[in-house]
Amino acid sequence: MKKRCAEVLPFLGALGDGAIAEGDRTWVQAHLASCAACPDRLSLFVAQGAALRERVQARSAAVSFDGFADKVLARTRAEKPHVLEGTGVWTREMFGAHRGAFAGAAGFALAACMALAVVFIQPQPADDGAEASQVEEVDFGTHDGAVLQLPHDTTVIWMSDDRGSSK
Amino acid sequence: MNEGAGDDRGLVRAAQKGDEHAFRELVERYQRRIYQLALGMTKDPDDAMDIAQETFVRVHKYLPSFKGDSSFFTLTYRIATNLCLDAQRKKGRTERVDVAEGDEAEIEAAMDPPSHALAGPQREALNEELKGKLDEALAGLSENHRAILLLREVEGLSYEELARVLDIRKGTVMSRLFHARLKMQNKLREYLGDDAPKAAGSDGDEE
Repeated sequence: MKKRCAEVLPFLGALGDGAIAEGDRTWVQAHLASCAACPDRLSLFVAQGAALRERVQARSAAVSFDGFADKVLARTRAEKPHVLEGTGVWTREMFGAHRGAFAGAAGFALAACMALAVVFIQPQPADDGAEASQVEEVDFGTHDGAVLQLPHDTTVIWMSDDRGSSK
Repeated sequence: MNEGAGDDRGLVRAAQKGDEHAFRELVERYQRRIYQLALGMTKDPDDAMDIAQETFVRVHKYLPSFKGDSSFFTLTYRIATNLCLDAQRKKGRTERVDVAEGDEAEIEAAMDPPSHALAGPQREALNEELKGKLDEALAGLSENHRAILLLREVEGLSYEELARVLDIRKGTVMSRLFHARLKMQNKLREYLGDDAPKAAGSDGDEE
């Protein structure tokens, strides 16, 4: 085997197919012009492909396709995709095609929901019968203070030390 | 190969909207070619017809999600090829060949003086004998080699189309096709035996 022939061999098919890179075409063609064997090798590849094509096409040419499309269509009617399957495909395709818009809309919707929640949802009393909290300012004489009356008979008394020390 | 791609797009759009006539036209346009591919892959006419039918049923199922960024025939050939490979696997033909690896013995064989059995004027005389041998040689290839040979030699797909249908890189297309052709050639050499005439001046000349 000649070294240059071995290098050219993998490119012969691509050359015959018209798919060889421009950078390789020149040196492969130059070799073919000066080599006695490689043009035959190329012809062999081409002839082999042609023989295969003729053979397969001849075998299928004898086959009748009468009613083939009818059978296919009958099966497609019988195998109509389920509504959920169709919806799934639609959702995937829509999401794939408009991913940015979907993400933006979802973010906007989430922000709107949070804003509405802040506006409309007020704190409710823990128990129906419980009293509301009350704060009453009280003068303890030497100290200012406040009494915080919470539900469930809980009272918090707060006294400030500031008044006594400042006076 | 894809000369009908422009026409396909209109038919595909109509079929996506539920136009059965449009889908029928697409089926009729490609049915024989898909059958040819399946026949080459399976060798069995009944299996090939079943695969062809199943191909179009699946194509119809995928039509709603078909965006048209690849051509209709690419989608169809891809589905058909996968169905053929699945069918072969179910039958236990799980041979896998690492096509990225060079087979030195095969390359050596291909470097032998080319035979006139396939090329040249004597091809006609051997043609009849060759027809039967071609089927045997094709059946003796791995599934991947058989698929790429049929898609290229019979269906005429370009390297870019082969890459899309087989889901491989374009560089792999060239390598796989080269090895598939070599294997086919060497199998045919075996069948033709020593009777095949030798080419004159068959040793390669250095540049």
